[in-house]
Amino acid sequence: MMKIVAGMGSVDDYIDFIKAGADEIFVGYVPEKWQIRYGLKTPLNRREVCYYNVQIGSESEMEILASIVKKYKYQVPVTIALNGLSYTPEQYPLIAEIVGDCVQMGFFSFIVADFALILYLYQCGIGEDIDLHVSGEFGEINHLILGELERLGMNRLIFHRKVSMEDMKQIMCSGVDRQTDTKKEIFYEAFLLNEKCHFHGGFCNSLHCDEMEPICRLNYRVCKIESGQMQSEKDTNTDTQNWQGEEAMSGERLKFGGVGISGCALCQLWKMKQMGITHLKIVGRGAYSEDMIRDIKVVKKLLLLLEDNITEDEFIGTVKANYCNGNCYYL
Amino acid sequence: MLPYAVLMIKFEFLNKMTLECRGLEPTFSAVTFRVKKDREEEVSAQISGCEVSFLDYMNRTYHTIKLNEFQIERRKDIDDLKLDTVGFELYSPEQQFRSELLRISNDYMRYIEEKLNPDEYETGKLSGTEIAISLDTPHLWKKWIENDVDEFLKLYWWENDLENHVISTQTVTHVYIGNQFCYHLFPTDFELEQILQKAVNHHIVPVIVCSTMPEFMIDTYQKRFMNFINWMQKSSYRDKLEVVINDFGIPLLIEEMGKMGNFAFTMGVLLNKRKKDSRMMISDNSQTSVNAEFYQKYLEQRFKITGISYEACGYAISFADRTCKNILHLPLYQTNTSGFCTTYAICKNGERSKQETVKKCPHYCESCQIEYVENQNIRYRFNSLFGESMKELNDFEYLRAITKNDVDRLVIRR
Repeated sequence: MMKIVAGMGSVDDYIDFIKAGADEIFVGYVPEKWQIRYGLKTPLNRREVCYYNVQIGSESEMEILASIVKKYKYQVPVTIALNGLSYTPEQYPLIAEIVGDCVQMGFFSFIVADFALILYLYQCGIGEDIDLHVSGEFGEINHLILGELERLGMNRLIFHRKVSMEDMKQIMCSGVDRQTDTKKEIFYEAFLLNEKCHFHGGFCNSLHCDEMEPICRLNYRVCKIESGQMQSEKDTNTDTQNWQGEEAMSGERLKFGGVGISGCALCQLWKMKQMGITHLKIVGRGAYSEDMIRDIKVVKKLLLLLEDNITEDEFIGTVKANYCNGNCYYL
Repeated sequence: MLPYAVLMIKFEFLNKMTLECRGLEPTFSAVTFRVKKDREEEVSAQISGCEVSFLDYMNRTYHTIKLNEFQIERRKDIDDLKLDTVGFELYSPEQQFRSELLRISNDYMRYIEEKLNPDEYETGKLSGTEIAISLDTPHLWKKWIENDVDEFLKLYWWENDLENHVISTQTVTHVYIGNQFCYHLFPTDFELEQILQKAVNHHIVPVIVCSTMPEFMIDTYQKRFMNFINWMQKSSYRDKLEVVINDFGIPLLIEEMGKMGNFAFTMGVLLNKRKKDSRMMISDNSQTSVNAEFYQKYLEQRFKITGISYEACGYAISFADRTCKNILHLPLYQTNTSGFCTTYAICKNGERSKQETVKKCPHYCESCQIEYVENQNIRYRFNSLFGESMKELNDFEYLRAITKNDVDRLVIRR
């Protein structure tokens, strides 16, 4: 069965998420030695705010998490997100130190987006001791770069949000050919629920800070310009629509307790299973715990349904009848 | 002799009186000065303190040092009978004194050099710097093909609102063809041949611009590169064709095709990531991964990347050392790009969130524009959001400084 990978913002949620059905948890860990020196200007991962519960934070919280992971009977693994888009030269040794600290505590898998960091960990030899997941924030992905990433120690590829199912299948097929040669097993993860950004995460360089809305949520308006005119601020507004923001979900569309209202690919689960996707990402570091628990339970239920030899049409019908809010990840 | 304002010395005497002197000739650790003959005894024996002020021409300020350790020696060789002056030398072993002496000497030499090349300094020429324009939309490809190059350039500067800007007086040396952000914005085979040939005929170096390469675009890119190679053979283009890449899969594709020898690769702005936001200036973020030596070596060895693209984005950025070419794009800087075109989603499906893979694009971006509130300084182009920073483009001294030391080429597009 495909595994559910759920984002977690606080240690307090671990047990509840496991009980709901999560098979893997991913978290952010930003130790004090990073946060004080760099945290406000160079984010260590893709959660850049300070006023939300988005990071596990201190070393002692991570120790608590590590001991719960060991103690709790299912031992659901925890992956650490180190998926900042870019770092400065002096920061790479510190990140390697943080990876070492995490390994000491019992955390062995990491999500990385920066190509230079992937290279650094490989060149230091650290890549051999850990599971390296290449983040959807890496950038564009195709079978050509995949080969190079595998050489540098990648164990799992997380497809970014803007890959079609067709392309995923194509890339995974080429992966199978390579793995036959190298005998290395590579896993594939796809976004399933929540936070379907309008822009590509790997090319999103704007601020996601406490002080301001992300740029993608700002109001905009659409203007038609006459053909042949240069796109210039002085030549627009021949037919201008009203200001609009990120499409608000009206009451009519807000069905089924809000599952997938900010992004959903539940109806594609059948196809994902056929293609060979191994892990399913439920985005949610910083989300309400209740919402995450609800989402994990729904996905678990649908995965169990998939085990019943249901046809694709029947599955899609079931999903659309019970969960579809129309905000589709993969159209 | 140094002009008076460059180096000023102030002596304090035992009787608390002071005397200002002009520094004349600096050396590695000393500077000569002169006084009236009747001050000889006073200067030789009665100086208790010394302060030296050095002009910082670039920052329009002075650096003043109070010397704790110094010696004054008589220099009879610079006595002047006609002026009735006697010469001395102020020596100090202090490191800061020596550093400042070196700096003002270099600054002064640079000033003289600039004055001896009046065109560069007075008419605002950035000599030795490559200047590029960017043909990144179908509209511009057509205009380039239809118009005389000089006419086109006038139009280009006018449409970019830079017709009265000093940058429009520079000689254009390179033309960028294609779009870094959208893989569908690329000329047809026929247009491309005409664009390339026109550039070459007018001694303007063509640079091919590639965006990202999702899996379904690999065949398209392969055909494009075969077209480039065919054109190079047909037109006897002898140099390597420079290609800006925003996907590491592109040099790997060309490696698979066995054609690496035909191309030189430059890393595009989508691969050189940094925090940029048009609403808040970020300070202290000058370096990124490309400044790391281990990464630069890998990019060169594995992908044959010999150039890196940057964007002027309102704060000071650090360029990689000059073993590779540094190319600065201004004044627009990218903040967000969509993998599935947002303009297409709005025009075809009515909502920006209803995005899909676009295999054939009708170029909605040519007839539809998205606007943001003016004070946010956000520009929407193609499938991307940009900020605009005119700060760098309007600071000619800054442009001269960076093109002398760090940057090989400026690419101008608004």
